[in-house]
Amino acid sequence: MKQNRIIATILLVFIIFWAYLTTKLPETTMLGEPGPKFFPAVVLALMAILSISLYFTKDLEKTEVIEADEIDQVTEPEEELPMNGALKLFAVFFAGIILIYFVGFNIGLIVSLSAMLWMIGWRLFPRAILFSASVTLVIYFLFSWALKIPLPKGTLF
Amino acid sequence: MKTSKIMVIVLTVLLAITMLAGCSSTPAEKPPADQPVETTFPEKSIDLTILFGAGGAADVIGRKLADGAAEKLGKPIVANVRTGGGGAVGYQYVLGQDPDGYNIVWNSTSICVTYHQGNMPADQDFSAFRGVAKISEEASAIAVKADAPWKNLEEFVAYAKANPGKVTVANSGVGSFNHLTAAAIEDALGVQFKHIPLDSKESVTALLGGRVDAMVNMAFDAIPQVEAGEMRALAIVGTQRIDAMPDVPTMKEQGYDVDLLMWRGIAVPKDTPDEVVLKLQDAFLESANSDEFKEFAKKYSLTVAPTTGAEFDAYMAEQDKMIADLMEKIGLKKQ
Amino acid sequence: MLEYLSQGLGIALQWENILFMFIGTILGLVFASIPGLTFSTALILMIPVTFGLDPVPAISVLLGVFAGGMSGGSISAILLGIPGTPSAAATVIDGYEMAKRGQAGRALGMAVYASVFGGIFSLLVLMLVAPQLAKVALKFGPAEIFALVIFGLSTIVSLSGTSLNKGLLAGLFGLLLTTVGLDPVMGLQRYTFGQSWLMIGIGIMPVMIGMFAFPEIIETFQRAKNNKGVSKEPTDKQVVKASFPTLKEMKSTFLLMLKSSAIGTGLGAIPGTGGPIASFLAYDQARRQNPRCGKGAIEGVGAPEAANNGVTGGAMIPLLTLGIPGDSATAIMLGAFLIHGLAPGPLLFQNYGDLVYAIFISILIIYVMVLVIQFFGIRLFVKVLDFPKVNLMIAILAMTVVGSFAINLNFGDVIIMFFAGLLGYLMKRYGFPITPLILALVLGYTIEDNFRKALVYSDGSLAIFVQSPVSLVFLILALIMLLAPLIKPLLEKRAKADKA
Repeated sequence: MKQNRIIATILLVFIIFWAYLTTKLPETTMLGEPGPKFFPAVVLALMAILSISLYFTKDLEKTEVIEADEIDQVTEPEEELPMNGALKLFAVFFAGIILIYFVGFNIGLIVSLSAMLWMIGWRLFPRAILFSASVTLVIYFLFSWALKIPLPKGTLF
Repeated sequence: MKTSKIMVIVLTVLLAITMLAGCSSTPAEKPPADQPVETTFPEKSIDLTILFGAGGAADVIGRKLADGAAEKLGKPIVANVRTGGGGAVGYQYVLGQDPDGYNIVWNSTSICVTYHQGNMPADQDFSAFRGVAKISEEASAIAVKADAPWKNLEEFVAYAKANPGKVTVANSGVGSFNHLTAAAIEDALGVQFKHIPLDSKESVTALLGGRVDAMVNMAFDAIPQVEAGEMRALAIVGTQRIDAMPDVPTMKEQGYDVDLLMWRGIAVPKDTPDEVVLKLQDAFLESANSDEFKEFAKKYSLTVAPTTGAEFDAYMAEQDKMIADLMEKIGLKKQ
Repeated sequence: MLEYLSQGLGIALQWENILFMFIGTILGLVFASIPGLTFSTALILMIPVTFGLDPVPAISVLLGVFAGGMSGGSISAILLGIPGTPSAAATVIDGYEMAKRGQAGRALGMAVYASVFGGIFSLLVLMLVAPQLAKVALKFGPAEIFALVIFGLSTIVSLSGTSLNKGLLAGLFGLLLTTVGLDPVMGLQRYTFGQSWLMIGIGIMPVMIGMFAFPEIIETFQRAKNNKGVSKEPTDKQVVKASFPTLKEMKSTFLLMLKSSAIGTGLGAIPGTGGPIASFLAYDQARRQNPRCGKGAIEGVGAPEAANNGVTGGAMIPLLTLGIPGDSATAIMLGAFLIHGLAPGPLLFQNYGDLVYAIFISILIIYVMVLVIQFFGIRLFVKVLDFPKVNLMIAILAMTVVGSFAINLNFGDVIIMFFAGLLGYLMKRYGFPITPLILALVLGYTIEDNFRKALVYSDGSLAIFVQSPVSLVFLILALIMLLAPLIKPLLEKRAKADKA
């Protein structure tokens, strides 16, 4: 798989989308300055050039990376962790954030932290919940009670 | 191992208690309709949204005012800074909460400006709020560097008339209150400036650094520089002279009809019940009228000019029209 | 001056004042060292407290938070790889690398030494040449600041690691993110899709929290999962010893410390620039001195820390001499002055010379406190690494949510934090460095703001950037930095060819 090519293509699609949004910005010629479109346009143009150059760059071989790091003897060859697992964790956490948005900080955080712990193999639910609850509690006391900083309230109640 | 288990249990029990406590503080039930003046409000702490940066004049004065009002109400008023969008973020936050009086905003001229600039939804102009009390007014000033050739407004106007579009005047950003003031001055003086949009602090550095000819800024930002002999204030834009600069005449005294004041007050979403608004109004007016607050406001060159909520509503409507006209004139009115 | 000094000593050494300095320093250190909390939050919390205090204790407590926070930002940067403040983002690069090798104590020791060095250096500058430096700072208009910040941004080249192309792309993407929200000059909405929570823009703190914390959290969780949830494995198996730099190390880094502190003080004095640029520029200096920077060198920890603490004294210069705050921290301090009827500015030195000297002495005492607290603290801080890593990461995960929310009390920031985390993970996986993006995100608004404002002055003529000598010099330096990686191989080839 040509990794750089895929990344470059995704970037170019993104740049085109952003450029389209940029063209929709209102035109202003006040004050003789270039207006709100100018800066994003310059950045996008530079990004486009670099993305195209990335498209034609050969992927870095694994051996090259190690070579570049040769001064560094301590680094152990890191095993690649599966990306699917990581994305699953992200998805669960995102669900947790949405839950916090709806039901508020206390319950939302306990549930989402417990879910994360379950995902990584803490199958003993009471322990996971107790740990999540204590973390939440400490934060609750620190913020709401001691510092008087409001925490997300939840929009459902 | 055992101790840690006990700890966890204790913590969980504590958590349960806090959550129950949290539930008990649900909004008060509505009082029967036949006795609208009696209200148990407030039963929990009130969230005061502050629209501009922490530590700034708006923030510090808002907090001080809230401290006094909280004493009267018997529940804390917690000031929370919600900046962004020239105030739009904070205004929209408050409008998004229940209109029960527990979410109030430290309102200012910014509600009119940010709305007409197009940063508030079409149905959320000043009238989406209801005034609790108007609290204060602040005047702005036009100032030049101390070594500038213009000794007074007259000389400055003469020079500006001779050089239309050449005199650079720093304001506090496009569509800012001071931009509007500068435009109003232009109008009254019959001159044309070149407006440089900076923020209020950048204006000071730009003038001291000699990059602009004059600045239109809150008088408060000019005072220390004038006192130190670094700047010369040409005129106060307001109804009366300022204690800190008693020698500087107002625009009106010099024959120009410019009278624009930055005002601040407390507002709530418009559906907030009468009895709650009245209770808040009493508390905030008392706080504003206290000597302690007046003394405090003086340090920020703020004129304490409290009015009731009803008067504030009328005042906002009048001001909104004036600001809309001004913004129309300089081509900034979007809605 | 001597009279003021003795009066100042009298004020500064009151027990009440010392107590508040101590409280402030501890608060700053703690807030800065917990990921998700920042010392700005601590400063805001202190505002109501300062209402009831005398002027000097009020300023002292804020100064304590400011200085303690600047130096405390390095603690979580080194131990957890998550910078406590944007100014500590450059410290992560080498600091975390050192911690991974069991040299956390050494890195922390260096950070403390550098912090105190930078802080005291800037204090001396503040005391000796504040009015002169303030005059220079006044000369920095939009064109000069634009050029300076572009120069700061050009250090991306040295942060890009193996692929310059990817580093620049990351940086540009960071710049693009800063265009979300209200346009700096016209106040028009850009890319907000009509959402009010996007009007604040994409904040540096949520992105930084997400990008630095999530890759670590996810990796820890995945490893734990592979080990069937075994969580007893301590974060770092090596024994961590706290240690200050040796005399030899102090000697070898002395010039670098001096340079970095000067960079920090200078940038601190120019309103609108500040900590992050200073620390990255100083890091660039460190790289020049030691090419092992980036793989865990003490220079890479010391330089940014000396610089960002240099900012503390530097930022006091425009505040005290002109009454103009250079950043959010000094803006809050300005508030504390005004509450007590003291208007900072040219008259402050004349009318309240004793107070000014009391403040100077307070800064000195605060840095001594930072030194002592951190010296004993290091032993405590490194204990964090004894916690089972999964538990630690769960706590950090919770803090990412609270921390990103607490900055603006805006739930949108939590969403931004999450997506920044996801992006950070993907970037790391596909070899895109994160620091250029963070640096660009910090600087983007300033760049566009000053670029456009400069053009307002010049009626749209780009000549303003080359007519000002200061601006021209910085732009040329930036150009050299950007082109160096292209030219260097050519030069080396020629040199080799000459030798052969």
